[in-house]
Amino acid sequence: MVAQDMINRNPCTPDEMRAANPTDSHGTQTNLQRTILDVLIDQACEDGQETSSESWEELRGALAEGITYPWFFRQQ
Amino acid sequence: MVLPTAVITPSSALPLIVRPAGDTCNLRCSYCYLGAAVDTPLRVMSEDCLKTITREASELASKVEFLWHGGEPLLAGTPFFETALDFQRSTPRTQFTNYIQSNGTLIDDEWAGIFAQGKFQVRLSLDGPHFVHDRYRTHRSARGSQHEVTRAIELLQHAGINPAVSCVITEDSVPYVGDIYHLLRELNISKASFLPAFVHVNGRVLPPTLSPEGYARAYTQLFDLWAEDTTGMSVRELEGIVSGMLGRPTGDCTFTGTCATAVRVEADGSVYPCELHVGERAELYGQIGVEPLSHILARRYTGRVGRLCTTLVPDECRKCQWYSLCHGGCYAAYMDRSDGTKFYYYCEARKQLFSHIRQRMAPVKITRPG
Repeated sequence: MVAQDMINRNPCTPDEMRAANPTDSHGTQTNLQRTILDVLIDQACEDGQETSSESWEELRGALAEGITYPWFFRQQ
Repeated sequence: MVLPTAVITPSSALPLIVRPAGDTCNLRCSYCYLGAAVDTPLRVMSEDCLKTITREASELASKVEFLWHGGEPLLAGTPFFETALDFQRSTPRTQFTNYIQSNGTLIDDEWAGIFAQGKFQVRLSLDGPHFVHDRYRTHRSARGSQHEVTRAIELLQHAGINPAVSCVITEDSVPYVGDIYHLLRELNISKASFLPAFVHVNGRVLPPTLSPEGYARAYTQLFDLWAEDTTGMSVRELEGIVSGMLGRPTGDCTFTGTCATAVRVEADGSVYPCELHVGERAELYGQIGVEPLSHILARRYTGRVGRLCTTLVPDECRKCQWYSLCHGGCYAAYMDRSDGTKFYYYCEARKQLFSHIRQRMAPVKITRPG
């Protein structure tokens, strides 16, 4: 269960999310992390979906805790 | 016979590879798939033809993408491209995007001004440091062109244009992949693509074609360099594979099995399949100005190349675990086995690369500091 305040601290729109530059524990974002996140944002905001959609909120919530390999492929 | 109309919805972009100077080129790159055709006397596309393409494309799609290609497209001259931009402005309801692939040797301040004015997305050919690039990308005199390309990159960057780079990987450049990648970083390149050199004549693969083993070695090393890099450099093929791994589009036509959709328009207005189908040149789709562009484009699906692209994918590809990511590769690089079946030259190499990337994605964690 993700704490609501953690979700709220997440950026609210895809552009904000991309600009927020999510990082790994070393404080830098690698090209691979950036690419994966861009793809997940695109996936969560698929055509016709509002950014308040379930998939977008799910991504925001997951990012608050940290997402890893199993989560990437769960979305397929 | 009534031809079916090409399926082009108003919202989708119509891509057209246009070669305003045909095969003609001022360089003599020894691995070029055009061969001696680059010596063809220069013949630039006429204004009438350019105007007709622009108008008819704008009638078919609300977004049109011109990929200006060659030979060397800049040989068409600055007036040609100024006219092209004028024609595009005269059809304001259509959104035009201009991409240009150039060897970079002719770029000066005047060209930079036109590219900036037309918001061109410029892609230059740069194979790496001079000892890699100048081995194959030479002038007629055998003089290398690397210095001119790096000068063009700096000139464009100074003019506010961030050129992308296309980098051909030959078998000889495999040991220098690290040097190539670091050069792109030093030059502040933000977008790059890496293409395997593939030279074949009558079914025989010739040097300096990148071997499948070389492909696996070069691309896995490139992936590792790129994956850990924090500069934000975008590498089209690698990002496409990661995207495909996550069930999203891969983008590059050699991964999507959609090569039939690409057409090239020659300087005389004749329209053919993708330029890589060198052996299929006899298949003319049509002639701009003689019949409507919509009829010409319909032949992408009914013509021989279009049918081959969708029917030639080997059965073993369709059963492969990576099929949704690869779609059988590029038809132009299909080879014959002794039993008559075909295979994609880089099939095994791609499998190695895909496995490597999947393994590299496993430990990745993305968090938002909170």
